[in-house]
Amino acid sequence: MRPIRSALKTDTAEFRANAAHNRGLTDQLRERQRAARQDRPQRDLDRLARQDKLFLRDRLARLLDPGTPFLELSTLAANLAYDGEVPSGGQLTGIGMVMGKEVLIRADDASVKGGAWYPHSVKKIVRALDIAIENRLPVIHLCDSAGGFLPLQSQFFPDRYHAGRIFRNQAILSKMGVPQVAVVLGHCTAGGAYIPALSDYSVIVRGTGAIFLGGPPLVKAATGEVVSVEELGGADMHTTISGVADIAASSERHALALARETIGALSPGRKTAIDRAEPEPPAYDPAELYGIIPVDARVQFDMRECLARIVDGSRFFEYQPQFGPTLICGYARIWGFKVGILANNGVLFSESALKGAHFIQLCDKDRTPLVFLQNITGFMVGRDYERQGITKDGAKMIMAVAGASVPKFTVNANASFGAGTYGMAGRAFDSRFLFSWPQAQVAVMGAEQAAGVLSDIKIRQLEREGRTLSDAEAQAIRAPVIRDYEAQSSAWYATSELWDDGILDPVDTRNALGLCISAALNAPIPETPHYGVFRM
Amino acid sequence: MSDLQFSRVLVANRGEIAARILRTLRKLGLQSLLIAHEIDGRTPAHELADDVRTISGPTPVAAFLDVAQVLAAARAMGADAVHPGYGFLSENADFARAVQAAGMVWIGPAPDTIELMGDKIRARSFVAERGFPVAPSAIEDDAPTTFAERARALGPPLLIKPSAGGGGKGMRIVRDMAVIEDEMVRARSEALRYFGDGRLYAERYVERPRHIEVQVLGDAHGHVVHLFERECSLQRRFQKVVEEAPSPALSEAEREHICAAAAGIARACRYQGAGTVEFVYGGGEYFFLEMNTRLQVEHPVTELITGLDLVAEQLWAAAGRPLSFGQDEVRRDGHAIEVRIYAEDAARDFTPTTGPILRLRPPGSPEVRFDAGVLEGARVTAAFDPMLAKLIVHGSDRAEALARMRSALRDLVVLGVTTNIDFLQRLLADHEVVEGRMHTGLIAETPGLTLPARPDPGTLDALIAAAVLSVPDVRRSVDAIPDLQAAMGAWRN
Amino acid sequence: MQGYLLIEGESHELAIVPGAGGGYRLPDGRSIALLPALGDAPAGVRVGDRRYDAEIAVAADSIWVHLDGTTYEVTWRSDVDHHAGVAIGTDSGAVRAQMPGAVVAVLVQPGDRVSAGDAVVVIESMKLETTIRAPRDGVVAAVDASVGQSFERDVILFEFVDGEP
Repeated sequence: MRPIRSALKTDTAEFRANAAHNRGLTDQLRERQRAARQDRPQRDLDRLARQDKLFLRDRLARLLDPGTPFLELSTLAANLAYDGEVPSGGQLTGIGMVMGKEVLIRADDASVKGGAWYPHSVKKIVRALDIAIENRLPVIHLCDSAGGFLPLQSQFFPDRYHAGRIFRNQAILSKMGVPQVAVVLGHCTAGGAYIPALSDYSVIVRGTGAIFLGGPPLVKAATGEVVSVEELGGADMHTTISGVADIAASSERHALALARETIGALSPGRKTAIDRAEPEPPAYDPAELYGIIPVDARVQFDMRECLARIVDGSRFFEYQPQFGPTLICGYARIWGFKVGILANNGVLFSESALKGAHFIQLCDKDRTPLVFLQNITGFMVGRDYERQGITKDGAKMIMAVAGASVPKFTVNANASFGAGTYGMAGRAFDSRFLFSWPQAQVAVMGAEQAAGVLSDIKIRQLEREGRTLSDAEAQAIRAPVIRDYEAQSSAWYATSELWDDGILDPVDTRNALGLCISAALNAPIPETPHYGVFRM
Repeated sequence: MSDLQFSRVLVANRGEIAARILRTLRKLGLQSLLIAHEIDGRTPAHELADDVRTISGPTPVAAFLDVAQVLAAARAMGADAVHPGYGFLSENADFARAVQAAGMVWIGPAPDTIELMGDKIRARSFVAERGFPVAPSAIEDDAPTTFAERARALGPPLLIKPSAGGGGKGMRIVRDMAVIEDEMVRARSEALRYFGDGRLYAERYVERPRHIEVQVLGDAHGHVVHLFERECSLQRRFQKVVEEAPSPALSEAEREHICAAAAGIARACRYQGAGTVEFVYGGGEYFFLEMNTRLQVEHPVTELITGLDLVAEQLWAAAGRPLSFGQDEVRRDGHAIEVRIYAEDAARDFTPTTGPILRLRPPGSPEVRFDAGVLEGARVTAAFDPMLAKLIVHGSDRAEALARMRSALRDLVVLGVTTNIDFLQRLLADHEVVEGRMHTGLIAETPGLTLPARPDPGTLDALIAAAVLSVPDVRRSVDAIPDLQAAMGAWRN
Repeated sequence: MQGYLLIEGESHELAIVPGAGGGYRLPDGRSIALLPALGDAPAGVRVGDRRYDAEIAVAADSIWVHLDGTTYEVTWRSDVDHHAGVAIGTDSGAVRAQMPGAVVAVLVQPGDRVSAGDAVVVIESMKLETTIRAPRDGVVAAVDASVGQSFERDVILFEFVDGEP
């Protein structure tokens, strides 16, 4: 493959302004992630120390193979919820190496509200287990939770994808032969008790770990029985009498060592083979991405320049370069893995949509994973385009995206609006992983556009009444819409609501995708792709 | 050399001394026979012997003490002479007599001499009567009922010893007379256990004594020469650790005195063969300690300064040949030092260690003599004493000998079982030892010697690297990491 | 983690990281490798840029290293064993030999009641006679040593049960 020839000028005022702005955003991202991971009220840290418990990050460090990467997901979940008092949703999820195997780690953070499950916590756990199912990743649960946050139970208990889905997913993982190891480092009460019970293997720490459907206070209230934590659900009882847990550990460090040993004892899964070559770093400096992304979201930029700073050797085999130029399609490699790239360079027209649908099918046949770099404000609108059938051409692209059998990976690199989101493998379309860049936005339409639409409605309403809108009145309608839209279409909001799997520093995109592709290959790629009907 | 009256010699011993004796037998063209216990496996002696017979017993040591079995083996192999080495039956007069009664030549002094010198009390009287210096003492046998009182009268410090004993077993130093009775009880029980004879004697103990011993050689015709002295003051629990010749403590005049006394004692008992007269030396005085009627462990240092082969001398003396040189022709040259390499843990009070000898690499220098009792691949067990080998060097003076020994100890590699090699290095670097100011309590009084130095950071890194790369579990767990993650290293988003 | 190394009484936690393209590194990035003996050059180990002559021999979890004239016994313990803690080795009533040796005398029989400090077995090891005594009151359950038997360090010599029979 030939390398992309960059036409970027890095010494312009615009480049410098972009870089300063985007570096600022990245600094913000790093600081917010750091705070979400580390900043805790001292009294919570003191309580952990008193209980002889390790801080979550220390538990993680002891679990992972030294010198290996860890891709943390949804670090900023719930960052705009609960007044920011539940950083990371009180959960840690991510993909790392344990004894040379890729595993998904899901941990309760006992330093956040005692590890209690809030609605966002449950959503994060369900999402993590969905990832495990789709990618056949073994799971390590680090259990240490106070249980569900009762005041909000209607938001995390009854519905289909609420807490019950955690246990359903666990059962499905087990049915699929994907192992789960639960390490009980604290209390697993009521629903939480099912996590170790539904895990294939479990380790429980003597003294601090406990598993019971009801704790001592509940038991006393229910039946009058007085019983201690150890006797009711402690390590020795469960590992010698009830069989609810498998191995008792004398300390957390012992337990984590046993968890590693357990993973080491499991047979390795089969990894799907795809076209892979020796990795090659991009020929251009990835830090230049900061200078490419415009400060103003509405300013267009050439996605090829981004590709040149992400893919191996900046090499790219472009498919139909002249046809449907607002969608770039082609093959490239990321960390050696060959992938099919779809990247937006403007709004989607019929030609670009058709090209996209065709290219997706090519990649499917070629057993090549798909990487979508989104910068899409929508499909072209207008009379001629409708007559040409842009709606059915968009539908064909959506049909291809939905039916693709190769793994999909999506990065919202700037904008993800309207039906363009669908055609470019947005959240609803089962990408194995979906990330946002810090400045990216996702919404049904842009804030300005939405404000314009809502103002238009008002204007026509007034016209029917025979009145006109003053400038001030127009402003009074537009301003709050823009403000709310901007807030709710920001990457911070999206990640808070777990509409993505995390915000990435653009420079980290290559590594993150490399790890995701590798993780995804733990699941097979079906032999025969098939799709629904393409409206021709 | 078949003009000796024997040609097939059985070495009734094991370990390094068996190999050392066999080497001389081969050099002299004699048939070399060996007895061995199964538990030793294959040893250097095996590689030198023309024939080997297995012996056994309720314990391995018991096998080597089984007179009947050893004789039977000798007969079965057609031996016409028996060399007992040291330890085991080497000072057992009954065994010596039995060998002679069986028509074989005993490579050692006359049984009567063995008996005389084996009884410490008799030996002491014999020596004192002939005017040689002995330490003031109290002998139990003289008047058992007054023994404790007479011992007490010697005043502290005194030494309580089994009269039938040797080699340090059962000896106790008493400095506080209040416990003298307890110590006697204990000494008696040990004496009974080890020697079958609970009789004791007590003698004045020289503080900070130096152990000086003189090698003597006699023939069947009454000629006796001394081959100078050795100093063996570096001891631990009465076990010698380092020996050297000559002693740095003696002036020439003192040397002449002590060596002449030793030769005189040997002459007085018409000593035949190689023997050693041991003295306690301190404060300008010396006293007769005991006479060992056998070849000693540390004989090589004498060999290196005199140029003689003591085992050959033993064989010629046993064959009835007169000494081929007189006292005037005995010359000494330079200085020799020997260290005993033991399988023991200096940091844990020198408790014996066991394990496989995974690697044995003698020092590379041709000037170093390494008398090994084990082969690489052998298993060190608790069956016998834990001496693995001896390292002996010669130098033009003591400083050069010390330097060569330190270098040899660094070069020597024994892996698989803890040894005293590092301890010996520290011991030979000790200021007092370097200055020659030694005494038998030095090791006990210098506790820092037993503690290994902390490795410096560079060494620690090397050790960690060596260990990690040699442990399959660690390597495997790192090998298991796929290229992608290995190349990305500890990346975090 | 990858276990611990015990070196001269101190525990060192291991965290060896993969080198890019195979090989191994210390956590600080220095690569490490074993160097086999080649011609005149002796065997050794390389850490970063430095080369050390070293003779290495391994038996089970003991790694013996002769480095710079000194001998070291390095013991590797797996993570699990290191953290398993006090639970290991607390046989309530087994008395083990402190050093290798041979049994000289057995002074009790199964069923005998012993008080703390009573002599139970006498062993001999390199001219050292040691009396092994009952650590607490109890009843002798089994004597695993017989007169004349040689044994290694840590072998169980006798077992007893606590308290009254």
